[in-house]
This record gives sequence, structure tokens and C-alpha cells, in this order.
Amino acid sequence: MSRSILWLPIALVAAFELYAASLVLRPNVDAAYRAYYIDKTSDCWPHETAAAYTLGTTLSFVDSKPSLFFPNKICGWFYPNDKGTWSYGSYSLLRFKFAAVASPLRLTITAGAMVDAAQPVQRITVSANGEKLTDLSLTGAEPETKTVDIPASLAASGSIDLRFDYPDARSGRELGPNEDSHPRAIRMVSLALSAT
Amino acid sequence: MNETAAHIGPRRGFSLVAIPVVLAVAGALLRYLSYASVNAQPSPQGFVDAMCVWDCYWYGDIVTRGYQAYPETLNFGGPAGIANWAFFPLYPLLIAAIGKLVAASPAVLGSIVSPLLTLGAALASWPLFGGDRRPYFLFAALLLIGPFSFYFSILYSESLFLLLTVLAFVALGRRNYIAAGAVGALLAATRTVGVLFVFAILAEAAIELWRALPRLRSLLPDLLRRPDIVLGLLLVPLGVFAFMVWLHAVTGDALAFVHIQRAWDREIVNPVTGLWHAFTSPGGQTRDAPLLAAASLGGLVLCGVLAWRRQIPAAIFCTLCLVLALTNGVESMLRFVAALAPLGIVLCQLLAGWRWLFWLSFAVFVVLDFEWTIGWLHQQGALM
Repeated sequence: MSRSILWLPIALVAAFELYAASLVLRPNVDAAYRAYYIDKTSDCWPHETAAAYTLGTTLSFVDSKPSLFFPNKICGWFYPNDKGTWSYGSYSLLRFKFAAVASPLRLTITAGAMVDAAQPVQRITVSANGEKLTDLSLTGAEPETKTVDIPASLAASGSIDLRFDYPDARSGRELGPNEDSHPRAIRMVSLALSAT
Repeated sequence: MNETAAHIGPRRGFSLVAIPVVLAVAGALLRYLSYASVNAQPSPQGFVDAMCVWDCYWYGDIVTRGYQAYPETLNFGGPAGIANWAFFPLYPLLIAAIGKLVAASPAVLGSIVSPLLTLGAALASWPLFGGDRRPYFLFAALLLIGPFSFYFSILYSESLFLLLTVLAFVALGRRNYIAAGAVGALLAATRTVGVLFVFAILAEAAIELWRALPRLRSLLPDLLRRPDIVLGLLLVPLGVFAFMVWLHAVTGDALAFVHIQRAWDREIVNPVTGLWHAFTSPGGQTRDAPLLAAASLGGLVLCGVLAWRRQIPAAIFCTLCLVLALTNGVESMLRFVAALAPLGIVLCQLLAGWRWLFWLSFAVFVVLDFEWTIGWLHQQGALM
């Protein structure tokens, strides 16, 4: 049999492979997927969460501790470790659904920051339901506690989406060459929302 | 190189099959004993369940549910959404097909099918030893009762990758480019690095054409006069392209298997600096990084030995596989090195050079099989 007959399967295989390769240029995905996995313009992969929360509960961000924050996590958090959970990316989101109250709320967070002599401050902009509440500053790697008041108008809805923005976030590689390079700013240890 | 069982007398030919079979049975018993030594109430089902850790879950998930349409949006601890697209389809497809005939869980099927595939790899490797029985038996021991044999006896794709690598190099050694390409296509559908076999075919073809007419300018025209080589080269990527078409149909993203690496926090790194950092900075995300770096380096040294022995296609294939894997850091590198059949073969050829070293290696293999199976059961990071 002449070898030239092999050019037929060659043409067929090549045509199929060209077709398959062309699919790379035509992803048929939603915006969230494209931003997170393809373009990598987002570090927020939105997790579904029941978000159930009882006011006054202190959520832990430390691995293997009770009341871990997972039921309230949306995105922007790394894996918990025995010292807390690093923020991941330029912002983090948490969601809380609770029995509505008429009084203001107080947010209490305990967190350390990614700081050193060259960059001694990590600023955090705290927002709730899209409304900016305050700017915080953390200045030490060791955890410190900060409080933020949340107006009664937001507490009355019984649902709060908390957002922490990190304008000073730095590459995780600064913690060590084998660490994930995504930006980190704070290492959250605990968080609580309580009525005042 | 071309000696086969048919050429060496029935009794010796029998041992070429019988000894690997005995080693396979002994290896299975040894690993069960290893499990029983750390479990108060051992049972066969408990053994299968205990051995099914890490990626075993993912293969089981693909076998039972197929590929996901979208990454998980439920929180699993990390920042991303995970999906099973990183795991190539041929092995779970094989298990699912067998599962249609035999009612058993994917983990149970994997614990039966994988050792058989590994035994097949050991038996099929005979032509690669040039008629030298001692390294052949040592290689069979390495696979079936050696330090890494637990990888090849569970619901992991390593056993299939191993068998296909052996078959592909046997076909390539016979310069049957179409068969090598066809097996290469299966290899490319088994693991990400399988597609790199195309470079082994290219190297073998270049060697053949160069020996016929050693002129650089004539290589390409000569290649085009050999449609069998062209077809072999084109066949290899078919496995990964077919997977891409399937992923596009299921997820909308033909490169989903690449993009989902983000869910495992895999980032592209320079292999050299990745190795250096793993040696010098043991902290960080990857557990036992220095050990994994040492395994990577050992694998690369064996690639050098392959090249030194003029087994250029195998050297190129293994080097590229290791370097590509290292672009994601050193995680799982021990497993990746262990599954590269040419590295195991050349290691056994070195160790079988002296009778005493052969027996010492065999004893070490058996001891490590027992010990590392316990390590696997305890999910030691270096074995991941």
C-alpha cells in the first residue's frame, strides 16, 4: 500500500485539531468566570453562602477553631492557618443575615497586618452594603483590635455585606518565596457584629 | 534491543511473565500488611478507603458525575472555586466503562484496575531492556513492590500513564511512528504532560532521517516524504484536543483544564528558581518542599543519564515533562518523577549492574513499599 494514502488521515486529524484550537479563541463563559479564571482581573470568586449570623457571635478566622467564618465568606480570603486568615486580593467580602435590630451595630475586628519597616501601615477601607463607614490603619504584624460603628439604618435591613478594601496590599511572596504571590494586607483573627 | 520472550526459550520466557505476576501479588499483600500494621481492625474495604486520598476523590467524582459545568461556588476553604477539569479523561473514562460492567465503587475499581495496568506496564517493558533480564526484573519490582507502588495501585491515573509511556516507547523503538502516535494520543488524554511525547517522536524521526542523510537542510523535505512520521506527530496532540472540544461543550472554555489551576493556587514559576526556593526556603504552602526538590533533581539527573546513554527521545520527553511540571513548583514532584517509566528503567539498569546492588535495591524497594504506604495512609506531604 502506498504511503501517500496516509495524507487523508493526516488532513482529517489536522482539520480536527485546528477546529479544537480555534475554540480557545471563543470561550463561552460568564463575566465572573472570565474575570477570575481567564483574564485574572479579579481575585474575588463569589462563594454561595447562607450567611446566617447571630448578632454578638465572635467568628474565628483561625484554622480548626469553633465558629469559623466560612458560613459568612463570599470572597477575598486565603486558607485559614493557625494564626488567622490572610486577605486575598485587593478586597474581601463577608455577608451577614441576622434578626433585624433598630439599634446601631458595632463591628469588632482583631487582625494583624502585612507590614515592615519600609511599609509600616496597612490602610483598610470598611464599607457596609456599598456605603463607606471608615478608614482603619493597622501598624503591626501582631493582632490588634479595632471597632467600627454601623448606622441603625443598615442594621434595620437584617442583611449586611461587609467589604474591606486594601489600598496597601502587597505580594504574598514577601512572606517567603514559596508563598502565593496574590496581594495580602491583613491577617484576620476574629470578627464580631453586635448591637449597641 | 529486540529480544522477545519468543527468542529465549520457554522456561526463561515463562519467568519473564511469572516473576512480575508474583511481584504484583506480593506487592498487594505487602501494602495490605502495611495498612493492617497501623489499623486496629483492618478490612479489604477499609484498605481501599484508606488508600483513596487526595486526587482519588477527584477521579471518583469524574467517574460518577462526569465533568462539572461550572466551578464550585460552595466554600471549600480557599479563595477560588474548584472543579474537576484539571484531571484528564482517559483514566476515569476507563474506570467508568468498567464500572458499567462491574458494580463497584470507583475506589474499588481503581484498586483492581490500576495494579493490572501496572503489571501490564512491567510486562510490556521487556523490549526496552535489550534482553537484559536483571534490570527488567528490578524494574518490575520497582513498579509492583517498590517505593512508589502505592501510586500505581489506587484510583490515580499514574498506572495508565506508566503503561502507555512504555507502549509508546516500545512502538517508537521499532520506529512504528503511527502506533507510537496513536499511543501518544492516549497518553495525551491521560495527563497534561502526555502531549510532550510528540517531541520524543520528533527526536526519533530526526535521528532516523539524519542517519540516512546527515544534512540539516534536507531534514524537513525528508520529513514531508514520510507521511507515517507526519501522522504520528499529528496523532499525539489529538488526545488533548479531543479533551478541549469536550470541555468547550461542557463548560464553554476549551482551556478550562489550564484555567482551573488557579483553584489550586498554581502559579507559573521559573523551574530553576522554584527548585532553588524549595531547597533554601522550606516554609510556605508546599509541604516537604526540600524533599520534593531533591526528587525533582534526582529525576533530572536520570534524564541526563538517559541522554548520556543516547536514549535521546526518552531523555527529551522526561526532561520536558519534569520541567513543565516544575513551572508549577515542586508540589507532587515525587509522584511525577515516579510515573516516568524511562526514568525507572534507566535507574534499574544502573542498579542491576552488580548482582549485590540488584539484591540490595530489591530489599530497599520492599522496605520502602511498606514504609511509604504507611506514609501515604498518613497523607505525608512529600508523597502527595
